[in-house]
Amino acid sequence: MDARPELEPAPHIRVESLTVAYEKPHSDGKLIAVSDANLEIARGTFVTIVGPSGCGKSSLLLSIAGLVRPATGCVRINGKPVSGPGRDRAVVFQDFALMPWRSVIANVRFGLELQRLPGLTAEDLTARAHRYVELVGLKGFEHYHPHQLSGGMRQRVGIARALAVDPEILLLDEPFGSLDAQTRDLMGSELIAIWERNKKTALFVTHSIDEAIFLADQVVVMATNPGRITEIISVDLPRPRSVETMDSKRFIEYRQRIRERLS
Amino acid sequence: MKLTRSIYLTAHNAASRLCAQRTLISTLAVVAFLAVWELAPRTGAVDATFTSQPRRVMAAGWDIVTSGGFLNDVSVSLAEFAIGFGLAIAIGVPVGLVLGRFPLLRNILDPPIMAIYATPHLALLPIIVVWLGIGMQSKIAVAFVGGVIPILVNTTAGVRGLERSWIVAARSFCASSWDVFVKVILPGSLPSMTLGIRLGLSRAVLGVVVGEMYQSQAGLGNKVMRYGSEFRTDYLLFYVLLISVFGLAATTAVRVFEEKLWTAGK
Repeated sequence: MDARPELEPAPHIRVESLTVAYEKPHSDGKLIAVSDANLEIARGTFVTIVGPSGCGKSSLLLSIAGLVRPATGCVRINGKPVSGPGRDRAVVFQDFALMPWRSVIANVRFGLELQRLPGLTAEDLTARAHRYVELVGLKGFEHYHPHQLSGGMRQRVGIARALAVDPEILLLDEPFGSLDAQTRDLMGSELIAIWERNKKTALFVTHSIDEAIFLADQVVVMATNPGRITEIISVDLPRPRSVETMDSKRFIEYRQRIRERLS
Repeated sequence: MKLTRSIYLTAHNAASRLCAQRTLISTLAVVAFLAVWELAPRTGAVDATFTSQPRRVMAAGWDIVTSGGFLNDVSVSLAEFAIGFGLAIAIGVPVGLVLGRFPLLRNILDPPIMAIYATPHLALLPIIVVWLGIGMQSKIAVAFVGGVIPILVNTTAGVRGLERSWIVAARSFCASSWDVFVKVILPGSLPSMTLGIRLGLSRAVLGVVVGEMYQSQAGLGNKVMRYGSEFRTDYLLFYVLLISVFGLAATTAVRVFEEKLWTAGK
């Protein structure tokens, strides 16, 4: 495709001088959410984005998802510019975004139904949805509706829905932001366990420094006003990681370094 | 997880027990009401000329049903209602959906719709009779006008009240506009839509009955008016009961239909 040397494979996701701007309500001005961001994400890595609220971390993720159109710059996936949502990506949302009229199994099927993968019958879709419901530990709850589930269980449904379409890239927008601390830790460990099975490229937005380090191969640190990337830190901690990882000396060093960056 | 499920089950059993209790209490209340209604005139406390009695209403009902013309009245009223209300749904739902999705159109049409909503639709009756005559057409029109506005307004509100994140989630899975409409907007706005249909239903029934009472040649409202002016309370009450039973049955039907659709969860 290009003359790049073999040793340096093309990044899976490449963000090129990306700027995202929103119309300000009730005025003519524009709000710069992300300013001139550059980022390369290698295939199969788990990258987290951490920063204070309003630093544009969600906007960056949603532009990669193709749900937000950048003002300037572009996002490339496998070298091709992103022009909208695609089958190669799936998003997990902070507020779960489950359909309240659909049961657990029907919610997990939702993405599969919409993507209309060729050659799959309705039964295939249901069977596949069942597999992913089981994967996230919700066996026995297939016919519950979202309002009957706890926050953690709802987000399991959200994760299963995204995984069920078998995307190359998993985009998670503060998926555990509305969960309590304990559920959050548990979900983080489970997510990483699922990820380690097939190593999809994953991009995970959070405002928790610990969560960012614990999950990541690389932490992207962002700052606010205007939203921008200030540092990209490679996290060199052995996998599989566990709760003890968080007490290790290196973990604490990473935490200090990021906290300094953020303050 | 097993524990959580058994808690749900216990709650479910308790709920069904509570429901059985409620049914028993409501039944007793109705029986008590009928007893008082039957016995009060016998004690001389009230005048049966004004209140009638369940026994007399039943006798009047038998007389009405067995003598000719009853079926004609029923079918005229039913047809007026069915056509008027059917048109109200057929037009109210799609227009409501469109207005919910297109703010510009909504801004244009909102003032006239709100004006009609605020107007008691029965006040339009005289002019409708002038336009359409005293036959079935005028009653169909009143039922339509009464029914269509709440259906339209509530459908619009349902579409506007949809969580934006549902639509974003659908788009993230490459949904087309049509997919978003079928898989998110339609099922998501269903509760308000059926609420509008229930509200519109009672207004349509009201339109038919009052329309017939005002100017008509046949129908249940026609008979209510006639027996009222003849002071035949028992005959009058039979027709009134018939209308309220119909209203209740139709409202229940809409609710059952809604629950079926909602839990079908497709």
